[in-house]
Amino acid sequence: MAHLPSINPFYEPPKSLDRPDICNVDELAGDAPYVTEICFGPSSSSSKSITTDDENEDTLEPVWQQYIDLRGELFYLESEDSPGVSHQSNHTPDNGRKHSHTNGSAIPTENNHHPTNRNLANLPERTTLSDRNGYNHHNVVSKPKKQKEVLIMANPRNCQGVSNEDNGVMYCEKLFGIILCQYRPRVPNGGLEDYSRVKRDRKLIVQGVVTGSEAEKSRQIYRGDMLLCVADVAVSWNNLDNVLRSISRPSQVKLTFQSPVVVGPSPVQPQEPVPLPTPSPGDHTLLKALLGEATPFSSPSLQKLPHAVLYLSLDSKSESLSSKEDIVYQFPRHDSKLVELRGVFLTLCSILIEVTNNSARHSTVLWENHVVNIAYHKEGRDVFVLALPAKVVPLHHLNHILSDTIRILKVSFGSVVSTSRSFLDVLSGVRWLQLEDESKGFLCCNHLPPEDFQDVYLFLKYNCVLAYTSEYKVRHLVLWHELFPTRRSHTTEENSVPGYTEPDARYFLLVVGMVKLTFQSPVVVGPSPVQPQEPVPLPTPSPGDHTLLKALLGEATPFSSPSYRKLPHAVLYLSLDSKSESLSASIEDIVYQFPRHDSKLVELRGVFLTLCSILIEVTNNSARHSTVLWENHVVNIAYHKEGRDVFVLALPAKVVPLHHLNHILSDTIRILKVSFGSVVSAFRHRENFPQCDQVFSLLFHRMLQSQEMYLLGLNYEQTSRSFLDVLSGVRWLQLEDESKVEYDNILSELEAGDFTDDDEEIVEMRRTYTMMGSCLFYKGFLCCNHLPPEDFQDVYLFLKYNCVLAYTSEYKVRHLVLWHELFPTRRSHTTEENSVPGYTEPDARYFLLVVGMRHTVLAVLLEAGGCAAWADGHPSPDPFYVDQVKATLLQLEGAELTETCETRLQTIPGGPSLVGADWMLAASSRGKEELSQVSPITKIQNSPRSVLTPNKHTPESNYKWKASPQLDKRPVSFGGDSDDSHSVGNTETSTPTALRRQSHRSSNGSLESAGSGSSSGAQRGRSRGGGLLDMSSLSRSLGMLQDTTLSNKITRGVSNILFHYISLETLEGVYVCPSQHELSVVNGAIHSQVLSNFHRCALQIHKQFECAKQKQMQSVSKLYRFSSRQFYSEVKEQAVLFQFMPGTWNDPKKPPPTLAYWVIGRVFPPPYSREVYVCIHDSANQNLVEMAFSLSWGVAT
Amino acid sequence: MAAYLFCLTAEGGVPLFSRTKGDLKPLPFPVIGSLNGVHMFASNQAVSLLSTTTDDAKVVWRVFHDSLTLIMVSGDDNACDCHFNQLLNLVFQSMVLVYGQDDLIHIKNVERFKKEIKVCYHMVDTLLSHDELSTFSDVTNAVDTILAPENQVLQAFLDAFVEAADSSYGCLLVHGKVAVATRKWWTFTSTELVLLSMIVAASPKCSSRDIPVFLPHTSPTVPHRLLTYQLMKGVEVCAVCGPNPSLASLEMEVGRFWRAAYESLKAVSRLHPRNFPTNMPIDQNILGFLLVNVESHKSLCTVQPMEEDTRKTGKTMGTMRRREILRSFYKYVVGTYFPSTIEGSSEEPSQFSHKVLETYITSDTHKCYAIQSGPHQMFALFQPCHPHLRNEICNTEDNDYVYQRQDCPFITHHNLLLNVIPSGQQSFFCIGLVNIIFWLLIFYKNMNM
Repeated sequence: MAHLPSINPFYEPPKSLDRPDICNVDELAGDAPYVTEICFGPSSSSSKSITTDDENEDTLEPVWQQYIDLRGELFYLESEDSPGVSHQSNHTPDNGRKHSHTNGSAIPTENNHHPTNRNLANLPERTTLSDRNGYNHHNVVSKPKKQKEVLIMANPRNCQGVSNEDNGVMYCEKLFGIILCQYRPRVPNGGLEDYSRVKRDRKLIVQGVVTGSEAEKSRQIYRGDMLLCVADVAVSWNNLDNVLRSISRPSQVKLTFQSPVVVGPSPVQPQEPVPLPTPSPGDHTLLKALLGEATPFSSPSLQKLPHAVLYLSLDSKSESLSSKEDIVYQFPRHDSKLVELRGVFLTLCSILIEVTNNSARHSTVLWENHVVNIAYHKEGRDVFVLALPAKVVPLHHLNHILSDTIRILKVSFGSVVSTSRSFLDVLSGVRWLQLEDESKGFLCCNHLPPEDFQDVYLFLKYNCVLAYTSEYKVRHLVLWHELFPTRRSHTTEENSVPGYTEPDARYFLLVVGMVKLTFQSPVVVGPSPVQPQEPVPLPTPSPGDHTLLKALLGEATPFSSPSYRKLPHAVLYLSLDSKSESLSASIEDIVYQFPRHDSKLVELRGVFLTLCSILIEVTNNSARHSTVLWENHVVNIAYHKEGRDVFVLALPAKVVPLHHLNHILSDTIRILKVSFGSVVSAFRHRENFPQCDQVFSLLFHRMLQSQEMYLLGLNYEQTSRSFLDVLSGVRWLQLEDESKVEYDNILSELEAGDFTDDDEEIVEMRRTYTMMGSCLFYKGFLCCNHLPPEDFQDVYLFLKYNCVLAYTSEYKVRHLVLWHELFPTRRSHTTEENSVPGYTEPDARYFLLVVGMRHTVLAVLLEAGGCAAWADGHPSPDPFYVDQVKATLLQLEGAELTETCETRLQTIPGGPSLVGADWMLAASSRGKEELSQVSPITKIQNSPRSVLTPNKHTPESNYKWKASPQLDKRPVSFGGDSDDSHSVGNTETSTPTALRRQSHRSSNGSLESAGSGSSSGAQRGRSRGGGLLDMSSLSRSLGMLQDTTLSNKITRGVSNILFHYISLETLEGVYVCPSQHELSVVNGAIHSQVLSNFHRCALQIHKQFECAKQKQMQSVSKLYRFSSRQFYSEVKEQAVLFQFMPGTWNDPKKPPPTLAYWVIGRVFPPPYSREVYVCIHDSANQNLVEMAFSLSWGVAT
Repeated sequence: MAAYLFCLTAEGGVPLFSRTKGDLKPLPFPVIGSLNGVHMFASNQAVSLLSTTTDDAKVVWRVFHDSLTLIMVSGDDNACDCHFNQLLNLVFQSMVLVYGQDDLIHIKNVERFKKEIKVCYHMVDTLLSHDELSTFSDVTNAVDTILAPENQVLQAFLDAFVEAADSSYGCLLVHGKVAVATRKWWTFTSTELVLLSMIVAASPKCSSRDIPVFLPHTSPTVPHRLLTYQLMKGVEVCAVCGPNPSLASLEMEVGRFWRAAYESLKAVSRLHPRNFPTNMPIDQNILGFLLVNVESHKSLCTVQPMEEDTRKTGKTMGTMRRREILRSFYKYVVGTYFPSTIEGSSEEPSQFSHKVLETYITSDTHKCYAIQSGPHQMFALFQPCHPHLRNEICNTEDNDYVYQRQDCPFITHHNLLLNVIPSGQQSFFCIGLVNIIFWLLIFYKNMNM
């Protein structure tokens, strides 16, 4: 097999060298290197590939572009590695699949499909080398209908900055705002002459349009369009510069484009619902068949359907038909009725010519209730017969299959006669599975002449390559085959161009496939006219895991687990304005319902409606919630009344306590208002339903999943989730000041919107959006927030209810873009009263742009209107802003955001140190004196020895000696300037790495500031713990100087007695609680029980606090008939004492040890607006106020 | 607290009676019908609608014996539903007490039933106006008692009198609270105990009564006679007996039996608002407390622990408000943290994996504290006290005395209170509280509580 000399070995897959004709789906279980090698060159590591990737992306259309929905809204997510990639060495297809899931490319990953694009783009370039007049030829062929003409105002004055060296691409961009797909100018082997030919042969493909340009406004230019003529002058890469330069004064220029079309089988082709032996994920028949390993006839159901491919010859020597000598080729091999009938086919084909002057095309026979269509293709004296059941393949379809098959055979083997037996086996074997024949692959680029393209397409289609890649991910696919293109080998004399002869050449097809989409559908650039977007071929990842991701993308409702079904839950939007009288008969009163399946709760809707309307008459207030009992499930139902409509949310009481449900309801209402403007518009417009579905399916997923956890015995998880969910705040990650200032600066830079863009056109224009502020999350923790509290609350709830934070905290995300119009509570829903006099909010629209990478999520609130331009319709995300935000993320990454946060989360305790309940119990059983002994106290300052000899019983002793050296040794540095000068007299060599990095940043003045900062002159410690420890350092300077190492302990007394804490800052909307890492240190069986009780109890206490607030408001209003003064109207503090006694106790002499602990909650009235919940052992004095202040000191700063 | 109570037949939804308390307009029939309708509709769907709340009110449905539906609308207490259910249960049981269970379950003639059921109105109204009651037995499901040193003396008088009435069930009520009762009397269920003391208090004042009663659990279908005689103002002696003796014949005997106990009765009667002996020291800051024994179904409450010297302390909280707060606090704690004999109250506390011993709530105007140990539950109301108080009391000899009594289960808590409560903030848990509990316990030992 000859190699194409010009093929760059770069593209030559090593595996295919020894096997020329192979279809090699390489399911290597190894990790990325193989892939990356191909994409980026031999030596790039996988981590590098990510960054390279990001750079590459700037030159291309954003990947998310195609996911923008009709309303201009976008949710795009690529997941990166989910934890625990399995590396297995066996090569079974199943294994490969599994791996591909763990690799997480459930969605086309830019990492992988982008290089594929490039490969595709380059391949034709090579092929056309041998085609001297390919371009002309192409022009002749592809003239017809799909051309369009666009008139665009060209303004040459824009081009003044363009120097002569710049090529036509630049001109085109400046003149029309059309960005052409640019190739790397690479001089091929053939020298300059070849080069110009290559250039001529290349098409001018539109890659994008400049925002705000004429081209965008025309709304007719799509990505993938081929530029044919400028002002009726045919353009190519050779004359583009000159043609464009000739436009010297502003004028309307006519541009002629050719739209990309899928040149596949004709659109008339019916798509039938085939009850196919669907390639079940388990047995991978498709893959096996694809590789020729197994014929797919394992399934007996196929046997029952009559089907056959026969190649019969009339030149049989023997007379008797039964001898089978007339069968040249037969598939499937086993004898069937159709094989026995071959005499009929042969005879028909030969005889009908005499009758009708034409050979037979197809027949229909009835055999055992199966109507079988039989199509013939006569080739000389031979007949190719294709028989398929009519039920499965209609006649018209069969004709197409036949002609396609013939073409494939011709393309593959030159002619039908020369068809090689083995290939046909594979081909026909595959085809049975291909019956459904949906063009699943999407074409993204085509640089082949139409006829050639058709050949290639059919070849790929009938080899099921497209079907397979569209459904499954392949790590590596290489296919190499000699082709006999129709155009070149089979053209007749008539349609050939005179004076031109096809070169005497051989053609080879090289197909390289990589993860997922081999082809991509063309997408519209710029604001799309209402054009139905193609359903994005979202791949189905593994069945079991990744439910969250699927749910996140709205692909699947997470209700696969049957346990959900058992739990009654529903969201209903009911309307009293139903026309029909009987409630039970019709479901006209249901405006919206989720989940869709009927449940008892849906049947009960009459109750909900009646209650909501009637209780106003009884109590002057509408119903808030009900409790019902159904099949041993106590179900809580919460109502929200909106005019004459009622929004109902029902969840089982066991999973979601009533108080929690109330919060979910109010949050949901807020989400709906924020996302859709109002609750009514959310449910009254059908097009909002998908999004509602998603919000609610995620909600139920989150809630009911916890039920499963509950059944598994992870009680603590559930209660803590329930409590933290109720808190109106987001978890706060206290960064140390220097980093925080740095990140704040980066965000401020972004928000300032001071983008340096060399495009003058943009400068002249009014800005598209104003940035209202941004907030930065890492792993679901809030790092920085520059939004006003109310807006932040909106944004946070939106992210939370769309599970973005939950997902990013657990999985790495390669790329996440979310774009949604918001109706902020503050701006859209405020009443007249609380507005500032003389100030009106601008008449503006607001958009939320969220960009995420790995664990970091940056949300930006944009304002259109006001001082920015007004937005019309449903604007799609502006790539420019997305890029800016992404650049900011990269900048943050450069500022070591991940490292800082991870260090904060893992190595160094962020807050006060905790003590484990298990240990406390054990200690108390050993005796009191020991308890005081083991407390990790070292009184001597700056003595590492004493620090390193804490008692081994203390879990937190680990902390102590990790943290204390820094506490003692690290000089203070004020100001966030992070010049790289090494600070004088800094740390010892033994400091942890994180600290060392830190020391780089501290300024030279650190020693001075340390000296001036501490009143006693002693070196004052300042830990990375940031705010909290500022407090301790403060108190130390007030006289507790000798006690430096105790800085983390905020409880009074000799030993540490703090089990757990949560500090909520309602004003800022943040809360602080121990990190997972800290919890893991003190973890234990009893401790988790303690925590479970803590959270459950804190939920109750929180409820009382909220009730107290409500009652205070109620007492003002006269509306309430039943209001009674409650005991907790001004409640400040609540506490509960728990006692635990081990059930079994061996020692009869001693009394069993008991563990008693308090759960205390305290609310600080305005202006502090703070709530603190602590769990402490009851052994010592405690001053909660003092503790609360030390807890929340960090939050306030 | 305003409230509606509707009673309808469970099958047809025919309204039988409705009671209203407070300043509420009567509801039109369609509204009542709809309220019942939703419940019926749900139960046809095999779902039982338990409760519904609005911003300030709560609606509770309950069906008894598939015959009567009770619907109550009242102010939302933000507490466990079990308290509403307890109230509805008491309403139904009081109907049984007065009318008999058979006639309630099998209503033959609705119109006649509507007329006859009016006899229970005064009981139902008393239950609905529970926040005006001086007792807590309706929420605690434990009968209110009064503790007096004279009780032992009175026991002998009572036993003798009840024997003369040919019965073994008798008790002495002082302002609706049981001072002493015969041993057999305490074998009644808690509901019966509560209702029997309540019916006496709810009935119109007269010197002697003969009321037919159906004991809801002991004998719901066969009526007994409840004979009561007023001995002096607020003091009544009751006996549950069979057909004999007649009211008049026993009345002759009353004077003979009780004349000698006059002084003791007078002494007990004087304890009335305080409900426990005057010689028991109690801290000034305690505004009231409620002590419940969930095993013996006895409770003791006071909201006027002492004669208040208003000149010294200034204006303190009114007794109504104190009762209200204690009531709310009880409802909040029981069913949330503490289990009780009330039906359904132990569900939520059992979700905690560890036992709750104590809880407190502080606000600007008052502080509440609850503790449970063994069968005893104590709920106390304090006024926000002065910081220096704690030190003073800690230094008294009382303190040492308390420490010496190591057998007392509350001593450990005393220790705890001293330690946990920091200076300045929670110091309201002063020694006074410990004293009360301590003394009460000693007292209760004598009193068989």
